[in-house]
Amino acid sequence: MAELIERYVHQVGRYLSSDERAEIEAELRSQIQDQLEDRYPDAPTPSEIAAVLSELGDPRKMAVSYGSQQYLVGPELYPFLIMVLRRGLFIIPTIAIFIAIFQIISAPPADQGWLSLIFGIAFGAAQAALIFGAVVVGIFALIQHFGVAVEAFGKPFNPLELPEVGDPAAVDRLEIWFGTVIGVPFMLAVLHFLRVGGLTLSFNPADPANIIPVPALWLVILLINTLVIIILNLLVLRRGRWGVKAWILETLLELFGMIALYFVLYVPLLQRLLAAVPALNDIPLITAAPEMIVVVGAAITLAARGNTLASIIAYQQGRRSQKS
Amino acid sequence: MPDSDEHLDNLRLELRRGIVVLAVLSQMDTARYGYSLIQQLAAQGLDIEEGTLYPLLRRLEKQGLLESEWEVGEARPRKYYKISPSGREVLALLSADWFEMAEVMRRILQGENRG
Repeated sequence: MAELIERYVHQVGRYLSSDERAEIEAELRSQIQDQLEDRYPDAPTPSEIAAVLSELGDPRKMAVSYGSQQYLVGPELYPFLIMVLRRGLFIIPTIAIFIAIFQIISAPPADQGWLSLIFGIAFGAAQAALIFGAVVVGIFALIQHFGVAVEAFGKPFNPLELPEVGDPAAVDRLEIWFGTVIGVPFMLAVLHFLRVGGLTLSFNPADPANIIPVPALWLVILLINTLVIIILNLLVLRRGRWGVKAWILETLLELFGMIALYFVLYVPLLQRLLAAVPALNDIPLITAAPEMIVVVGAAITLAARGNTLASIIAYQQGRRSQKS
Repeated sequence: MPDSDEHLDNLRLELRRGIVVLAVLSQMDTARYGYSLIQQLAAQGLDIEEGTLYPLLRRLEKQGLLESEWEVGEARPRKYYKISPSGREVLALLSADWFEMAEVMRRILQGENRG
């Protein structure tokens, strides 16, 4: 008799937290025995015990009904998690690619074809994306586990501040905060590059290790450009809506930032890379890669932001005609 | 008409959920162990599954509405639950709510004010 009960109780216990497992197991064991004694005063047969246990239900479901709902990442945190993953899974592999290129420049691999080199870089980027995903989910799971209040990150809910339906100029608060959080360390990195006189993977000011010299003027321009974008975004956040002028200014700043990256990052890195690994010269159009990156990036930015700009103008005109 | 028995069962479950808490609290002036409470409620016409009641007793204890004690003097140890002072206050408030709701629902379902 006891063996089947023990097997059931043990299975329930497997799904319980360790701090209450022993207590619930003891209680459940006693409750099952009460039930059996009442129904079968003589020693119950295994099939009679099985009947009682099946009334109690699946051990996993029984354990779930003892605890509060357990999430790795709950519904309150989930939108933040997705937002960080979406942005990060674009940013992190990009950074990983640049770091890999930098490492190749610093220590060129011997006798390696360009195809295996590119495969190695792509594999490193995918690996970085996977590690980033795992770390971010882990951090969110810890936040969930320790019950950090999500409300602390935002303003209290005010229905009057709800964005209008279909308003293309409405500010995405999370987007702006995320951009600021990314922008500040980026500026610090650019400041470091400015101080040591070029790009480096070492952030120790006393020992910058291998440096790829870049034009200081464009570093200063990139720094100011990023600072102005952050200030503009925070001003828009305060105002609550994007105006046409602010949207155009932000678009121009983004385009200007791409041009600055062309001089600060793409051209110097490619020149050094081609010098370090001559086999890469076999890749068709490789020397035009910096220009292509800027042109494609600018085209995507102009198309996406231009589309939203047209919506903002149309929306504002619609509202004006409604008022008049 | 619901499209399946399962759907109807779920609706019944939703309807009973709050009632079960009230029913359990109402029976806990005397210290009881889980199975004796099931029998007590069944004798009065309210059947509750073991898998529902046992975790519920523990949740109510966590919420401070019940107190518990292990009785070790019997043939084997048993955990007895009893209503706590704050459980008694909650029971009084919930009971008042229940009578009011029952009266409102009676009027609604019997259509006294149906326009």
